Amino acid sequence: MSGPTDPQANNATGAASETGTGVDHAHVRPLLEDDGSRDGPAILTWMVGLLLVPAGVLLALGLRGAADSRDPRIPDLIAEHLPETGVSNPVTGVLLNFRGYDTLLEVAVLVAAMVAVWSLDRGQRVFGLPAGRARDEPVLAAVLRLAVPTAFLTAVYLTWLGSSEPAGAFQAGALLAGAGVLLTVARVMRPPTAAALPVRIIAAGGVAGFVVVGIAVLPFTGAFLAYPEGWAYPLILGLEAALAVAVAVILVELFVDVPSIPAPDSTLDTVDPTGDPLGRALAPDATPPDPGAP
Amino acid sequence: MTPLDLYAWAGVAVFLLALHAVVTRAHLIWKVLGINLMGTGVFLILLAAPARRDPLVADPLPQGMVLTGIVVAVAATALALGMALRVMSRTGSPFLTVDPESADPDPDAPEPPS
Amino acid sequence: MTEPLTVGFVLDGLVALLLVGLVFRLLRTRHLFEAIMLYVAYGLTLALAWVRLGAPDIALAEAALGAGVTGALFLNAWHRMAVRAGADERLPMESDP
Repeated sequence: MSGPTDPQANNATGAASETGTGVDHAHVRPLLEDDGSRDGPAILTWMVGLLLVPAGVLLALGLRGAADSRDPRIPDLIAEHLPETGVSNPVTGVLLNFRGYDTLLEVAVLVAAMVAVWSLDRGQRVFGLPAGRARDEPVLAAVLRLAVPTAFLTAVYLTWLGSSEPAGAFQAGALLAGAGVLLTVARVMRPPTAAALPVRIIAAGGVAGFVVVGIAVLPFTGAFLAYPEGWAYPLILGLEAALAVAVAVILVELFVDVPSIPAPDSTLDTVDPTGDPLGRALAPDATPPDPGAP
Repeated sequence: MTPLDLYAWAGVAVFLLALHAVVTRAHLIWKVLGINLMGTGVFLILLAAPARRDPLVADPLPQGMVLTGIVVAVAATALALGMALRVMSRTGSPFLTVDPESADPDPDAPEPPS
Repeated sequence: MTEPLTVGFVLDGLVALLLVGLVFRLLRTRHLFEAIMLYVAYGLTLALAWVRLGAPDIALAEAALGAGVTGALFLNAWHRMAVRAGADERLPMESDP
């Protein structure tokens, strides 16, 4: 395994011999190691700490009052009306029925964050990472073979379980995203950035599903997102499934679309030379076209 | 002093420590860490502070709100990290105020105002 | 009013102390990688706290989202900075053939 022709051994020794050569560590050191020289004078640090003492006292006083200010009837109300939500897990009932608006806007925030992170690189990149081969590392391959199918199965189970036990779409989506990130960093999967249409459709699917369901129930119940009797359980389950997939895709995109830091003398080699598939790509230094120009 | 109080106090301490770091540390990544940790301190207070009939079963309403908060905090952290990395790619420095002596000779750097 | 000193109370005290200690350490350290590792440890300890507070839904979300996904986001940022700083040339993400 560790013969002289082993490519991994060569890699390792090559990397080891490169370490400490040619890199200006003093120059880039603060990126990874903050020596505190830019933090301002120590007296300022202590003064801010001193200022936070009265803030802490105020918070403590507020905490004492908080116990009395909460309406004690709310848990009873939730427990009383839980059968109407179609689910038996009170947290899922709160998230997808009582406070459905909250969850709708929460997913909208996720979509907005995905688009915002993607746009930080001026939307130039089509793929977050260059094409790579799956690393031929036996341990990594074995972990992937075990972990990824397990994560997928567990995510489906968590989505379904969310109606009755502590679980739900967001936990399942996070688990799916974990599997996706694992596949991405192992170079098995090469996820496109948020520029790709399928990514956008799936990511928007969570919000769209909520809005469609919310409007579809209007003629029956007369209120946005008020599920008709008997339909709450299937509707919530369907929404949870769409949410889990959307959350997973968005979280992977948040990981993939984060801008990289090019070296001063290099260009981003992940810029697609043919431009944005949507035809709206900007050359790295081009100014945006004036929409009002003839 | 009940177990709930313990976690509420821990939440206050986490919030204040993180706020201190956000104000005093210049490194952008630590600022992002600090803002994220301030959020978790608020979550601890939100869930541990209210009166409960049964201390073993939490209120579903604040639970739902904290769950929403955790998901939004992830999105906000990702956006803040992306912006911090963008600053580093433009200036080569993890600080907002660039020290002219150690600044990168970045050809992509914004032109000085004329 | 003083609570009898039960095993559960001592456990809660230890978890609460650990939370504050981890935060103090990760905000004071000068090494970014150490801070990120402490952040993941803090997230998992917080999941423990949620279980003790009777909120298993949040414990699950915290372990998966707070510690897992956020930790991965910070590590991703660290990696990009490390490639830039030349400290981790073995895994260049931007210039692989």
